[in-house]
Amino acid sequence: MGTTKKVWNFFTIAQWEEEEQWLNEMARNGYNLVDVKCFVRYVFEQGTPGEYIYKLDLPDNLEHGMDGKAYCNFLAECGIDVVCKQKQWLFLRKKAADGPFNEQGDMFSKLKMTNKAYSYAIRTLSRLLRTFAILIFFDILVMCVIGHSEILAGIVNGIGIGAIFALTIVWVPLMDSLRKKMNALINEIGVKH
Amino acid sequence: MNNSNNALTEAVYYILLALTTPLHGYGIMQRTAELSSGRLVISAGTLYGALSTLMEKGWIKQLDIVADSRRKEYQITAAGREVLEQELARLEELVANGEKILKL
Repeated sequence: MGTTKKVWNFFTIAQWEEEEQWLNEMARNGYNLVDVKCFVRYVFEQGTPGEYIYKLDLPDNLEHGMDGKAYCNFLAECGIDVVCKQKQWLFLRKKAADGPFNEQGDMFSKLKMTNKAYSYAIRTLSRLLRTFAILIFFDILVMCVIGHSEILAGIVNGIGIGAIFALTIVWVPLMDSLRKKMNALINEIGVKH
Repeated sequence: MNNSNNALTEAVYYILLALTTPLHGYGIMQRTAELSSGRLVISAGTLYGALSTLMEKGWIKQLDIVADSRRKEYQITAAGREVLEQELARLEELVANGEKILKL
């Protein structure tokens, strides 16, 4: 006990299933996740192989007007530990002996999680756009006061082009893949439920 | 609530059945597993969402919190029982029709 292992790894928000699989595989090999830093640095503690199972969760705090603390209390009551938090993402674990988190092939849970990841992606996108709008507003304000500035215009243009580039290359395909996954799940549930 | 064509999900059906006796969150999970002989595993997230939705609909209610326990207990309401009875009638119709056609 007590031996820690730190691993770099990266998963996009569309890859939460892969991330779960990886964490569970680590746990089966006796490496239990205890912390995650900046989304990419995973800290494991050596323990009994197969003692815990892991799951990612993305509780929507606005959902049903419940606060995050009440939800975490509820999880604790169900024998589920919140290992750590990264923004709104929760890394959960429970004793494997207490049974699985949900049914094998639980389509509805999967759809809900994909939907939450999609909403998260939209929230992040709108936050980014709002930040950029504020930046442009202040840029115009400053230029009105001090007159046209090549440097300032260059900085704002640079950030703007960078943001558009990042959104097109990274964020839009990510949201697309989440949307496709959601549609596939909805079709499947339409038949099986 | 006269949406007779609105089928309950299996999870909601078993949660309502379980709450014919007062239970707290974890108790509901255990009871639903027991009722379905271990087949139905309701995830904590699903249960949490379902409990607040069912409370909003007035199908279940929260019982007063016992002083020595911080756990919230829930119980089915008369409206919830009515929904269960409607669902049972719907399920019986499904079974009757299935039997009539397949077992003749």
